[in-house]
Amino acid sequence: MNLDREDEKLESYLRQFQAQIPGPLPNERKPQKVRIAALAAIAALILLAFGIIALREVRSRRMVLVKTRVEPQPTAAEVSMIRLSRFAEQDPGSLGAHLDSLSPRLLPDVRSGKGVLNHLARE
Amino acid sequence: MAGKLTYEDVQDLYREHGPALLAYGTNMLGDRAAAEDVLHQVFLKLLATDRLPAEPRPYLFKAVRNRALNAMRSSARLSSLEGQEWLVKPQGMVEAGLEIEQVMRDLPEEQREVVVLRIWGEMTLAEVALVLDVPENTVASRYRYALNRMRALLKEQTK
Repeated sequence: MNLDREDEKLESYLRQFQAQIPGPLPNERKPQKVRIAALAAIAALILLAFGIIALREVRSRRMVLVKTRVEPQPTAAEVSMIRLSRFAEQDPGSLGAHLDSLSPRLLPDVRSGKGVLNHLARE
Repeated sequence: MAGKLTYEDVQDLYREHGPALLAYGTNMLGDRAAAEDVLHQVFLKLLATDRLPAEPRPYLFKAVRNRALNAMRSSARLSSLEGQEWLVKPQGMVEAGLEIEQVMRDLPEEQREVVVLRIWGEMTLAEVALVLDVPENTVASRYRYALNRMRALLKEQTK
């Protein structure tokens, strides 16, 4: 298309005016990075929470084990008169110590509580 | 210019073509804010494709045109351009700038977009034809009518 002088004059007049600059281009890559960092932080928190829960679980199980550990009851064989008599014949010196080791497992602890046995034990 | 795209490439294209694209979008949509939204969508999509188009300028104008047309269809917005400023008006040329914006408002849409692409998009008529997907002769004819009308309107305003 051939422009005449008038057209060219008008074109150059119009070109004196520049178009306005748009606002900055939003950067979608940064939010992506932020999103990844946020996800990583959330994942770390979840792992930490699981770790704490697992640790507590292990501790409480140990406590239960400790609590439920029961002193082994002396067997009938250990306290039978025949066995004790034999023990007295073979090793009379350590009979007293043997009876001491059996009695806490066999008899109630009279030192605890406020019963008559406690009172007598103190006397 | 085809090749692997970086964020800096996109920023460069935005700096180079952003103002003309904004002017084009504003003249199509009649709303600068909506035009800026369209512009951002186009550039963010370009960034997502990771590939530079072979001919960035016609590609970008065509992309803005398509998105603006979609936006117009979905919002049924009328392109009035009333109160929309899209030209920089240096001191002492404020009145003249406002006059041009007024004259542009008075042009039929078909002619207005040819003028924006040719003057502020700095395109040849062949490139404009490519963007609008019409024969070059049609573009030349629209441009000729537009210039004549603008000249007449500017003369009327200076009377």
